[in-house]
Amino acid sequence: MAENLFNKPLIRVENLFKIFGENDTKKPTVNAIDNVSLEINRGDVMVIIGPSGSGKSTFLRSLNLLEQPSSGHIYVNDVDITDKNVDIDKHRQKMGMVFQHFNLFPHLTILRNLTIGPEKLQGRSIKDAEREGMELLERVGLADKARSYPNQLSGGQKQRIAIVRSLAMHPDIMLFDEPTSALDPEMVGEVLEIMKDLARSGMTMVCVTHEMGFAREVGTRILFMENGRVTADGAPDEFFNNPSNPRLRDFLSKVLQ
Amino acid sequence: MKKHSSMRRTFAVLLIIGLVSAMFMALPVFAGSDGTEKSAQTIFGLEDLEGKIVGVQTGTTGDIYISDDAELKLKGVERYNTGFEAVQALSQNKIDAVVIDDQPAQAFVAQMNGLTILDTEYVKEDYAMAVQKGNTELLGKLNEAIAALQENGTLQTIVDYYIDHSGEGYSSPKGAEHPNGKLVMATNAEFPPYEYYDDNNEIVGIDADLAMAIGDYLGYEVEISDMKFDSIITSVATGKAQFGMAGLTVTEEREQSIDFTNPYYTGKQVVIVRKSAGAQRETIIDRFKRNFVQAGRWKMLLSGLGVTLVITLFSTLFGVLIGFVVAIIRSTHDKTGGLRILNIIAQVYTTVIRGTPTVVQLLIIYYVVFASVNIPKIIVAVIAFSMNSGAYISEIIRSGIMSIDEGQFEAGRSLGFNYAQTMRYFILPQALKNVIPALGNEFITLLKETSISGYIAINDMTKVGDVIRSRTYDAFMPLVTVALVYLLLVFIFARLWGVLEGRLRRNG
Ligand SMILES: Nc1ncnc2c1ncn2[C@@H]1O[C@H](COP(=O)(O)OP(=O)(O)OP(=O)(O)O)[C@@H](O)[C@H]1O
Ligand SMILES: [Mg+2]
Repeated sequence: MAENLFNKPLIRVENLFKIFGENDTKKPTVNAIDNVSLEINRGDVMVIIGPSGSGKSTFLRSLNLLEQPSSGHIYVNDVDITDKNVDIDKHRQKMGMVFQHFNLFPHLTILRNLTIGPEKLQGRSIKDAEREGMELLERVGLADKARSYPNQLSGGQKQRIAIVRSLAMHPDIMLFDEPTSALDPEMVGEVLEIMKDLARSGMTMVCVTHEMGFAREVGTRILFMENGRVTADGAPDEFFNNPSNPRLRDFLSKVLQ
Repeated sequence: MKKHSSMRRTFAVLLIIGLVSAMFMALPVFAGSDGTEKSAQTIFGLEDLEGKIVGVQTGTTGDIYISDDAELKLKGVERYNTGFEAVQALSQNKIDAVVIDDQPAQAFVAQMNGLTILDTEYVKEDYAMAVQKGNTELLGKLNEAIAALQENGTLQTIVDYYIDHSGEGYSSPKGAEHPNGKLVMATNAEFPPYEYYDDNNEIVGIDADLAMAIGDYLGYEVEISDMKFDSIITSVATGKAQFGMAGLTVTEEREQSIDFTNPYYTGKQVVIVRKSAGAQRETIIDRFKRNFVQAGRWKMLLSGLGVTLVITLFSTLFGVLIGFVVAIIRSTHDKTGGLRILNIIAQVYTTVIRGTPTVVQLLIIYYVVFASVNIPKIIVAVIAFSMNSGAYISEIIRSGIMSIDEGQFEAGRSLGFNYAQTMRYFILPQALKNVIPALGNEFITLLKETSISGYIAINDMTKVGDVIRSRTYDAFMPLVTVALVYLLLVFIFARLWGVLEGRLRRNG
């Protein structure tokens, strides 16, 4: 059974569309995702790149239904989560998400940020959740901040906390939306290190990022999006060394210089 | 260090409140000793009337005596048509004293603020009935009747009723017959308690009742004819009226035109003068005692304070509950588009409450909504004020929810919390923390707003202050005291709320 599951893709996206403004006649409609179909396998570290407004965030947020798709299907472990009868909250527990602006809970201590999910949603005891929370904090070198509040942390520290907050839920996949874009340059490294560690540990990851070094080093698959479509999809080597798409070449030349 | 400075600030504010209240309390003393000299009592005995202007009712004994009295060395005498006009002129500083019958004098002084009666009476006098000169038959009958009614206690009953307000007035015995015809009584019905118009526009009073009793005794019907005081003697002398009865004092001058019966009552002419509203003669402590200690009025004030606090606390409690529910309905609709019907109801509720005066809402809830339901008024007030504050609190909480970054919501949902859980664990705690200052303001507003409870006859603190004012004729002391209690309450509450705010701010 487990063997069987392992051979199947973790996520399968079928003919996904997202049209903004379809219910509002006053605004122009935007085809943010325009017929995307793809599969994400266990252990994949997928890096999504593309120009601004190409639909990267929208696609990522559709994967856990923070953005409700206009049409199409998303299967997680063969369950169609776009089905109205599916308990989406249960699935979201297994799909960690890291935001550009961290979105830590400012009224809770760092440790509480990590334990509230496992305790309230997964029925773990506080003691158990705190023990694991402390382990995770140690893993990212922030155990001494357990009793601090988010506003007492630097940006890089906040993002590391945001990552372990998701990890505390034991997710099957982690979604990152430009996790280093809001950071001062000297803090980018510490966050990328955590992400690389995570990738090496075998976590399935989908990352929207402009960090090409990260993509080259740990990425197993690179996606290039333009106007809501995926126009290139391949392994990092061929992607970076031999890009066939002229617009991709153009894009890479800009971000790599 | 921080604690120290905040204590100093507390002390400073208390000092200011103390100074302001001391200033308020001292104000009338200053006012009494300079500037408004007119309102202070300057006449304490007859000898002080020298160089003053005295008012009287035209043609009364007071008028007759005072006009001939050279000993008093008055500056002048002002004559008024009624005793009331004279007394009113006195209280408006137009004249310095009024000479008037003892009984009406007491009635006026009890009704009007700032007047007093001198301890020494001006003159003692006998009241008698006047008849036409030479009508010895009627004179004899009247004297017989007066003696009989004095004997059997009827006269005393009438006097007790009109002067001490005890017992019942005179009414004709059942089947009283008047075979001897009609007697017309000349009087001037502006002279309580002897003769005046009652609420039913009928002439009543000691003289009127006594005349009735005399008529019943002698078998005459008595018809009262109201006229100017001046005209009474003339109309008796000319036979238009059979007798005159209007607190008429026996004087030699009058005896030249008419005959007097034996006196039926001995009255006094007294002098009414102004006393200040409590300066000079009344110390602040006396004044305080008069307002709050006398008749245990501090207990009224205390119970008023209790009522105000009960209404405010319960209304805040339910107001927060209502506000919470309404805010969640409205922001859930804003965020998810759900709860359409509830949202419309909530919107109508807040629009109506915020668009109409609180006092009108209170009156509608009391006189319209609960018109036929018998529930304690204090509950009506709590309902009205809860609904009122609920609308404002809902807007406060809603704005608090809206002020929370959308990212907080997404973070909660992406972890797997459902909408309600996300609200409960992440959005509301932060929203409430943001609106703590606004909620404190709302509480303070509500505390002061409950002062309109008096509109539905609830004895809250404001109403009690006003009741005391109407009993002691002193507006200043009760109202300023009430104001200071509100100020103190608001101050204490603001301090406590500030501590709470500070504590919340420290955690994140
Ligand atoms: N809530 C929304 N309402 C309307 N249009 C939207 C909304 N969110 C995104 N869009 C539009 O959808 C398109 C895709 O946006 P998206 O944020 O997914 O782009 P992106 O690739 O993530 O860009 P960036 O690199 O700037 O983050 C853009 O044209 C954007 O304006
Ligand atoms: Mg984006």
